[in-house]
Amino acid sequence: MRAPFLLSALACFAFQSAFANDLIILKNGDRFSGTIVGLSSGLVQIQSPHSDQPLSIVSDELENLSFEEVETIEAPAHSHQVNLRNGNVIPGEVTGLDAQNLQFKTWFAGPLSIPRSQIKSVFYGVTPQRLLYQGPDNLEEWDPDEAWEFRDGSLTSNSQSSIAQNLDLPDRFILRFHLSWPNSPSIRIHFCTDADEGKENHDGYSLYFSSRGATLQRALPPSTDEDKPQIQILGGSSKSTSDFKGRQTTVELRVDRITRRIMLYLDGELQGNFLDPNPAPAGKKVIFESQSSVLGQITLSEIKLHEWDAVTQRLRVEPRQDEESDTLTTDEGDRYSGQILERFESGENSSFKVKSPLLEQIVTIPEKCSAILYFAEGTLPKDSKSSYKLSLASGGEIDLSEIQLTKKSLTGKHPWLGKLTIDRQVVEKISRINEEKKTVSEEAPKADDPKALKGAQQLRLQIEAN
Amino acid sequence: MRSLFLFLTLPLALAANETLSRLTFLDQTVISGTVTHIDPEKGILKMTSPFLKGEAVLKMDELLDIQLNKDADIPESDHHALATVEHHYDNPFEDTIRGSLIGVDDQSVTLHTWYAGKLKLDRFMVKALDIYANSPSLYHGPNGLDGWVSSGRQLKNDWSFKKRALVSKTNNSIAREVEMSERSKFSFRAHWQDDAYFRATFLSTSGKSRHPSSGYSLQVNRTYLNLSRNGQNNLMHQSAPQLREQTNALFEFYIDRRPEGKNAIYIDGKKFHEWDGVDDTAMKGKWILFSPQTSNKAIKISDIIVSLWDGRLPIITDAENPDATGLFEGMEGQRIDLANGDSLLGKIMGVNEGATKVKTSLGDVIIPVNRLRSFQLHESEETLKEPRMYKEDVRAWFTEGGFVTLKIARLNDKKIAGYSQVFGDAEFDLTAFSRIEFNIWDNDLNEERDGGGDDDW
Repeated sequence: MRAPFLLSALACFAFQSAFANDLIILKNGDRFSGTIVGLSSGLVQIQSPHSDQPLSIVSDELENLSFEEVETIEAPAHSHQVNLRNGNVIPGEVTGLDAQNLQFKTWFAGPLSIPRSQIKSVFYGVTPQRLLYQGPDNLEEWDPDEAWEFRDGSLTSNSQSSIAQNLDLPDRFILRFHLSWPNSPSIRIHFCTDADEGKENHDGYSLYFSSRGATLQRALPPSTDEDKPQIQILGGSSKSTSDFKGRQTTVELRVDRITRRIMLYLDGELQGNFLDPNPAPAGKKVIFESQSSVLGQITLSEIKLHEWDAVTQRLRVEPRQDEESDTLTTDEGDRYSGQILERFESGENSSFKVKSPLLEQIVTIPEKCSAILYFAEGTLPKDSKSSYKLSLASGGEIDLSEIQLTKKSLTGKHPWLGKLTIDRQVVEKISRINEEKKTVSEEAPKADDPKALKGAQQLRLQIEAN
Repeated sequence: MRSLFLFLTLPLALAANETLSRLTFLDQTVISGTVTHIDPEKGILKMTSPFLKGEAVLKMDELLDIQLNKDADIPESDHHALATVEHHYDNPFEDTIRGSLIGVDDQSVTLHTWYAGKLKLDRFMVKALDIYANSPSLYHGPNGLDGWVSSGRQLKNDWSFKKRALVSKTNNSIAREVEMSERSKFSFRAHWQDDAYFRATFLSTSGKSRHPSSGYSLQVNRTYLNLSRNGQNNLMHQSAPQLREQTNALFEFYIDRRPEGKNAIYIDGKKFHEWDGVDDTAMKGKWILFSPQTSNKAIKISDIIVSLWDGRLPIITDAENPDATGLFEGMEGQRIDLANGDSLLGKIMGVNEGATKVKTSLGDVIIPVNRLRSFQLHESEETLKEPRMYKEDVRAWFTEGGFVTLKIARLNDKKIAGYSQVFGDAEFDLTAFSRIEFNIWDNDLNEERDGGGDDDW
């Protein structure tokens, strides 16, 4: 029955006048763009603008396969996240827990029953960070005067000049971009400002990035007409350009205007959590101001703006206590180690029962107060390798093999969870798992890996210091 | 069973990948495989690929080029005739067809080629005919950024390819390996915005250094030129005031590495400096390299040619030697330049078994073809005709350098056939070519092929 369905799906796609920008890259470097219409029986079908009939690509040759990013997915936003012991991350909702299994509901893969031994942790309060902007897509949106150059998804400065865009920055946001320079960088990134050019930013923030490091500044409007605008230094990073491999870095600014805090990450590593002692600026724009007159000295790419649910910050600061017992961490920072017995519902509320060796009585903790569940290490299934890693548009990664893709869904075999049927809308990318070269997540490091722990410890120190 | 068949045949097919052609489309779709059939009228081609199931039928309207990956077995020849064809309409690029000269008459120039047999060229479309003792080109470009490296970390951050030229974005150098023979000619055209300020290096052992200390380096500093050898600034310090008034110039180096060899640099066709008495036979560097000396102003490098050279410096042009011009004044016939620098006036009556019969006022003379240098084919440029352009024209790039334009009729994994007003219908051995460009008169595709963007810089 699969073949007729596939054929009808292909026929449907074949008459579409516009092609999606899905992309298939093969191991030998061949590339196919178009609309991916199916993956089954060892073949990937893509409707290419260069062929009336779909092309059938041998799936053994796939390096990765990515789907055109959809700006908004009309789908529920899960606020829980299961972290499996094989590194997989699955967003969803906890619906039950007993001595053996966690019941977990997802909008894209239905209900899952996951043995506790396979789970490393469950995060609560994870709201997918809505993508507000991704680019650059052209020069005009940033720089109508064409003082910069746009090429291959990158903006390159040719002089001392600013490019700006009103991105309608929300109160809490994450701004991330890739920055590269051939010799010596000198750029000021202005944000939360309403100025048209960098030098006119008299009420907002700016990050000055140069060969000496990065400095975060607050520009304050003059108190009177006769005064000059003020600049306050909020903090920075002493990393110099020699610390960056390949003369490039990924800059991430996490801005919470409600609490007036700004976190600066360089290449995923936290440089500091800085407090603005002044009322937060209200501006909505981002400005990139090249302060180098050298041709092609600054190149920006992969600019992304997400809404930021600051709860995710907390996920980075709660390291695991020990691997041999369960631990429940509440959103107030309390920790209960021992055994998380079960989840039960009472009316509209749900709670966990936790048995601690230090307490005589079983403790009941409302689920709404829970922040993280850690499960004790147990016996894992015999390791069964997967061929591909699925990246989810709503965040998360799932290993799969034997992938079949149709117009609406993707099915595959998870090494531990068995056959999964996943809504195609959530699939962002399928990458071949290379044993020698582990895929590096584009998102922040996971809360329970060593790098994240180091960052978390730094962050905790920052928070405590402030 | 079909899946099993695929499984069994795949390893065999993949083993032969190194000979696959590579098709590149405007949207950067890239497919490796073998073209089995082409239908120019319908605008489609058929191909097989070890990565695709079944035969793929592809539309050619956005096909940029096919990179070929075939080894050529080029036979030896006692001379190489290079016919330069008049350009198509407003397109500045000229076809060059190489072979052995076997005939010249009032209407045609006939070459014997190893890749297409006998080609009879319309003489009125052949702009120039030059004879070389050796194959005339080792590199002819640039044709893109492929094969070039930068002294910086990322080539694309440092240089771009626009309109058949390399354009600098920073002061990092760009380099590629080209093996130069004992006697070679290296030429390029440099363009600048205000002042000429760059360095050109060849025979260097390094392609990653902005200031290599091996090989020859020409430092152009506005109007002052300095030529160094292995880092020693002792070969030439000379002023070229004309560069102040120019925005580009053609630089030509004639290098004979033998101790007795004569070497020279020409600028815009005029000898600028000559030197000898240096033994460069031990110089083994293969890198040619261009370094902007400032980040503020871009430079552009085009028309890079590395070719074999017979060791004879170009004869002095008529403009430089008015007496020579006067030599043939009022006399009738074609001017025929010989390889030793001599010239004579006469009419070529025919070519037979490597010998050219020339009728002169002093009687008939026989000159071996390999002793000729060039012919005057036309008494004035007005008699030249431009070849017609066709929608189905493709530009096939020879592995030996240069290209030929033809209206494609057939293509398979061994042959390409087509028509040109210059030589009529012809069938070419595909191993003669490294690349075939399609849709060559389409501005959108040319923009992508030339590096994109309207501006030259």
